[in-house]
Amino acid sequence: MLRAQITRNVSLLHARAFQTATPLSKGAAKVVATKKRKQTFNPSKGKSGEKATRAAGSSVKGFVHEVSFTGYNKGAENIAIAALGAGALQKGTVCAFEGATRRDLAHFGSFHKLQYHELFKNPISLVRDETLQVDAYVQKAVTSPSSENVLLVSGKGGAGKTSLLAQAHALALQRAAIVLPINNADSLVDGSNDFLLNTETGRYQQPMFVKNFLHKILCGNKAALQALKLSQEYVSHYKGKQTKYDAQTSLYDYIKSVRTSLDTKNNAYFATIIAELAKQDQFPVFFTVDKFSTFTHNPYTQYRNTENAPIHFSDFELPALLLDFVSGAQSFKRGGVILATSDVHKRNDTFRVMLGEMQPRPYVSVEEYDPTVGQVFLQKKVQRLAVAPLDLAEIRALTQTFIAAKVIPEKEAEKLEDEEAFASYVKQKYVLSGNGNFRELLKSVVLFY
Amino acid sequence: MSLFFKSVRLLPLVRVTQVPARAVFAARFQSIQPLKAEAKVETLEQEYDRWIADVKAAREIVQANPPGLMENERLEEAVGWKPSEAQLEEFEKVRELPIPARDDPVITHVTNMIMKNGKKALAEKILSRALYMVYLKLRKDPVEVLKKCIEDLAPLMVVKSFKTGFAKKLNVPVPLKKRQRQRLAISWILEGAVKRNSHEYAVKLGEEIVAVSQGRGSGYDKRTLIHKSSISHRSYIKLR
Amino acid sequence: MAIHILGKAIKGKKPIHLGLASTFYGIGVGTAQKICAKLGFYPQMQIHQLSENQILNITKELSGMTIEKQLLEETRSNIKMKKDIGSYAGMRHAMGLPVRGQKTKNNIATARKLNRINRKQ
Repeated sequence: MLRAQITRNVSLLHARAFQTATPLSKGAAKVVATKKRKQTFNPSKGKSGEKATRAAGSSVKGFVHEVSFTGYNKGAENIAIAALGAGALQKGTVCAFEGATRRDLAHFGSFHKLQYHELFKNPISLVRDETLQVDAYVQKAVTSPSSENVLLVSGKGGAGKTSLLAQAHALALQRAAIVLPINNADSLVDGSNDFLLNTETGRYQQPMFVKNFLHKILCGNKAALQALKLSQEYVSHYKGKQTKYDAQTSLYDYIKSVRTSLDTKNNAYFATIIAELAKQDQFPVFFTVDKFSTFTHNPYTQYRNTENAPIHFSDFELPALLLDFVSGAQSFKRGGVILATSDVHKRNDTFRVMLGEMQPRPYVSVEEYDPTVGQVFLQKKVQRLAVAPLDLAEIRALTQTFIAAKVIPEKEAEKLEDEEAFASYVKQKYVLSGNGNFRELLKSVVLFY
Repeated sequence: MSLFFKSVRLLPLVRVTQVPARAVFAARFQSIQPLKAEAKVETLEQEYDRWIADVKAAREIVQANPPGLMENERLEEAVGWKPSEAQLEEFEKVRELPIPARDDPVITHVTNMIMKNGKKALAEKILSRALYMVYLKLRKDPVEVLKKCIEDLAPLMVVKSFKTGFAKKLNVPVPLKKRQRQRLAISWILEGAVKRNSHEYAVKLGEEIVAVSQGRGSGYDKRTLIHKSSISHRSYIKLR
Repeated sequence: MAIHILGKAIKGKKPIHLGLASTFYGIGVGTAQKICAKLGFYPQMQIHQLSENQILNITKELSGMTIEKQLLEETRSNIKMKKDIGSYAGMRHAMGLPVRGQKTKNNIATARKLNRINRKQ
């Protein structure tokens, strides 16, 4: 009897399963009928291309991306800060990048992650002694050829080299210059972009990198590039299609059209664009490179040739061009080249020769001294600018801005209304920031719990 | 103590000025050479005498200049610095003030609960980053927000089971101390954070704290459950 | 999104050299890098970026090498030859013991697992 009961139950189960199965299969047919979604690796789309099933308002980003690229600056306090270069530059004042300048610099990628720009409505920057020097440099460079104006910015990690470059970009844009910004030279060398041998020049091209680079140039210098006309006729070929550009075409249109055909074999589009910029006298041009010391750190790139031997960086089109502009082999009629070092790269002989700290020693290995870079800086007279640590007055100005923007909690800020207490707080910050390191100062304000 | 040894170490120099240098070296040289037994004893005795004299001289030097005094003088010589009057004044003013606590007790508690395998620095980093995210999202003092979250979320009672000795257990609601309440609230926040989507714990924690501060968060359900069961077991409370 | 090379699936998100090295018996990271260099792939290129043509090129490279079954056969035949000529190494292989003079008091798990006439891997 028991067995009979069990079998009945089982048959019932089957029946139920069968009943529920029918409507489900209809639904499944529906799913199949809908258009198949393209598979993607974007984590926000969830696995296997389906819509993400995640808690509402829960982010998939890591801390750095969440903080830097989620638009938290929109919720920031409104504070009255003058825009950079609205009046004469005054040492020790805190300025902001606003409006068109801010937009262009964002296109250039001048604002980096973990610079804590999200604390303020607009990215702020401090006018320092170095800013005034860069301003004077840009002022001079606007009227003289770029081969005479090579500026090398050095300093400790977190001292403010990259921030200074952003200021340089803004100051150059103010003087109606065209800016060509490479804000991470590491990515030219670390094998993260594709490469292609140009058999005519014997140099490797990096289509993916140059495409992005041109995009930055287009967005940030739109007005200037639209005003520039080509000096001669050009023809481009892409996938069997031929396009002609007459002398009335603006450089903007030319770049925009040619940008997508950089992966064609033995093309000279990028060289043409740079040559056009070098020929004209209408706008000054500034070539800026952040983390330039990647070339001294290791002259051999992560890329390998067909024989599996590492390729020297000067065998690549863009880095070689960069060296040409530094050495003066090529030059813009007006403008300059601004290079910034990075602290993550090693201080080998090449680095120190570049900074003018020593003469090259004979019989050292290539990792220690690479003559390709070394020779350029030995023969070339380069202006060098060492970014100094912040002094007390500068920390004071920054702290006042932090209080105004309510970055420092109000409870704590109330205690600082007393002048004496504020002075001692500034001194405290000076010590906490490792005697005036910009990055450490920000960290001591932001991540101190 | 170390100073004493230093002065002893200086002594041979003093001796050299008293005894002709050559004689000293000759004596040492001899001691290395194989000698007759009598001669050996003689040189040994000489050696002992010399050491005793040295120690006596050292004692005299130390007695003449007590170590504390010497150290102070040396420090001033080496650094070349004396506190100014203003500094001494400030020192007197600050002297009596209480030393402020290094850490907030609540923050320390949270840090310690985040910590795994004794990696406190990592726990601190996670909490700082989470609190920075809270600041960015709410634009309020994040420490205050966190404290309020914990205060709101913390349960008042918990039901504990006691053995009666018979076959029955007694479930009695028991009031919690401050730290116990805090601990439960923090653990619920941390549990809620784990279920979020980001691959970085700091982001998850920041989001969870914001959620709890806005009255969302799974911890509130747990608190209500506990309170409900406490109320239902209230008859077991014994009041003296 | 996996891609199939010589009938083996490789995860799309893997860098090419690591994907090849972890998939095929007989190909390490060095060899895989050589293949990538020869075919002109950039170092951080990923498996899902490969075009049909490039996959064919990889297949061509791989089919010219002794990997997978072929390599295993070769190893097995070498071991078998050692046993057939009656050498000490052959004997040790047959007994599942270390071949190159290691002590056998403890720790011969790997030898027990691998050293046999019909070697698995």
